[in-house]
Amino acid sequence: MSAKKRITIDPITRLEGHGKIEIFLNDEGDVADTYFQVPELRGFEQFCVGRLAEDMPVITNRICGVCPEAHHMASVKALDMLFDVETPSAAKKIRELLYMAFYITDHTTHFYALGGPDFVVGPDAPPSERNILGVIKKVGLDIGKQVIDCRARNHHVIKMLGGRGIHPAAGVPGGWSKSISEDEIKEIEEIAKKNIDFALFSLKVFDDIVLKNSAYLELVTSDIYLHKTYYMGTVDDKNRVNFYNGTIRVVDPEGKEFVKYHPSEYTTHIAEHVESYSYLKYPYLKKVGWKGFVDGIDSGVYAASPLSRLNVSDSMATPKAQEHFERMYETFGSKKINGRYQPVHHRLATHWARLIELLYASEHMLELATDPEITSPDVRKIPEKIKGIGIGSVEAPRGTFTHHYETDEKGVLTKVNMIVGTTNNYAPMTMSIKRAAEKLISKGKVVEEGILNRIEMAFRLYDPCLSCATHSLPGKMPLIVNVRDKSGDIIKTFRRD
Amino acid sequence: MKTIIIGLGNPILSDDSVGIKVARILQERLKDGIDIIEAYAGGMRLMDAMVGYDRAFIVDAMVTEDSMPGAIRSLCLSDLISTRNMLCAHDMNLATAIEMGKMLGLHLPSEIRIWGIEAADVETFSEELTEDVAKAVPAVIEKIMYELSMSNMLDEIKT
Repeated sequence: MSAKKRITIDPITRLEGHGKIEIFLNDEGDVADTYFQVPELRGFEQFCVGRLAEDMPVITNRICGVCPEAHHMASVKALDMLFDVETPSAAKKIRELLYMAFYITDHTTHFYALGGPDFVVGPDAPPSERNILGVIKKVGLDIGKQVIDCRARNHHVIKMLGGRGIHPAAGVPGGWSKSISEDEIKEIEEIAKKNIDFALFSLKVFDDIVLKNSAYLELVTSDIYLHKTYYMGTVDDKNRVNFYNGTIRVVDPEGKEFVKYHPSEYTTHIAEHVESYSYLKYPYLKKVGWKGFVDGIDSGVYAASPLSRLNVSDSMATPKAQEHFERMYETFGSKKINGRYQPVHHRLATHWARLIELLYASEHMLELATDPEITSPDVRKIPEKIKGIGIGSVEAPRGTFTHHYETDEKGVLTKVNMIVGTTNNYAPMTMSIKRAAEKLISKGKVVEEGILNRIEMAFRLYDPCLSCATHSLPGKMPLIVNVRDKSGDIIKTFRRD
Repeated sequence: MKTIIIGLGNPILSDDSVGIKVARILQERLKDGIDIIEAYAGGMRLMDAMVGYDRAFIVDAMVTEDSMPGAIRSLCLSDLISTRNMLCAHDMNLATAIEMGKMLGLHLPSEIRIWGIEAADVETFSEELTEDVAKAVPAVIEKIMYELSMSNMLDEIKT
């Protein structure tokens, strides 16, 4: 029997304090296993059951201070179905307009504050410099001003449309509680134009700093973070990326469409695997089956991320984003089969995909702002019946995001379930962390900060949101991590009550 | 001195909401002159909220496990211990955000005081505080009121 040595990276530099990675080494000092732990939040379903379903858009958006807009949108869409009401077209467009503003702030922040520093300042830079201050020092003060301005103007749009600042409140079943004035839309149009310029500027930063640097380009295109998994994302009727509405498309590792389904059918296609060492549930494709944390066409592991959304789509719905979409796939040498690119499996390309989505969101924001229907006063249809079940989904920045409510005949909640964006990526994150650890740690050599950061980079690219990913776990089970030897015997237990 | 009081935390996550609850009570007690807001995320969003103020008081839950639930600490940004929500998992901690803001020439408070209240439960969804933490609410309000009244007196002496 052999004891394993444990290396813990804690706290993860730029992730909420409780997230923890554990790496288990064998006698030779090589990686045996890696685990990714997150804190457990309890009792969300119990908190909601017994409340009126119509309150959910303003309850669920309090789960997380980071992406309340995604909760709000998934929730109002679930209510549309629950109350069996067709939202007027103008209201759908207003929802989408707010959602684009949200995406722009979220993707911008991730690139400049979280993902970007690894490239702009460098993966081997000390953690104290590997942040947005380091980016500003390297690229210039103007970049910081642009980031602040971008966030401010889009938060202003969210507030204007959503009724208040951080937590939008204007979404209601069957529509939106207020229409947009001509003055407001003029202002939003100007903001959208600035967003397009900013997105193009950000892609140029990526181009200049990452793609033109051979060491980084090599890192991005190397197999350190490569996994050939299935991919999931929402597409419109022309199989183009859509954040707000459409059908869920899953493609296999070769890029062939595996399934396309309505969001309300998610339980037919998604199952959850449970590991004995963790309370986490790992979603996988039911019809492929769980084969462990492994790549390939026979493994039901799928990813849902900016890169996944591009991988499942035939194209982007806006022209400039389409140019960059093609450029990314060409750079990775992806071949076109039946008119669409084969998936890019290099997970660091997720950062690039995120910027392409930033450009798409900006272009689409302008399309919506200049759509004559956007100022229509017809923004609400009053619900007249209760169907008893409502399922709504959107693409959150971190992946496909589903709210599922069931009620009694009075609209009082009897069941609540959610699959948030991050949850989809638990298995791929675990795999990426292990892959990175295997490539970067050998014979016990692990101490350099740059090496540890490269392991963190493996999950940072998924932009995990741990605070809401763990909301719906049942019961009062404490976090327990067992360390097992080669025979499967527990040699040590870690416990957090 | 233009002052903002920020109640920080998740309003539906048991003791994590203590800062929000303190802010709501202060809202009723302090009629005007001081802005009081609720905030749900740290980092850049929190920094954004402080732009244009000379002084900021932040009230937030903390989990140090070396104090009893309900214990109140007064901290500043340079302290090595932090409260729960100062860091935003999706951008940066407050100290970095403030440094960035200052670098960019934003008007940010020269004085930032943080009141941290040791929490017992920050993992269960509930609008209620646990008993010991609920008891700390009036105490932290008194401390903040005292602080404000002292600084008002000083302002009067200065003028």
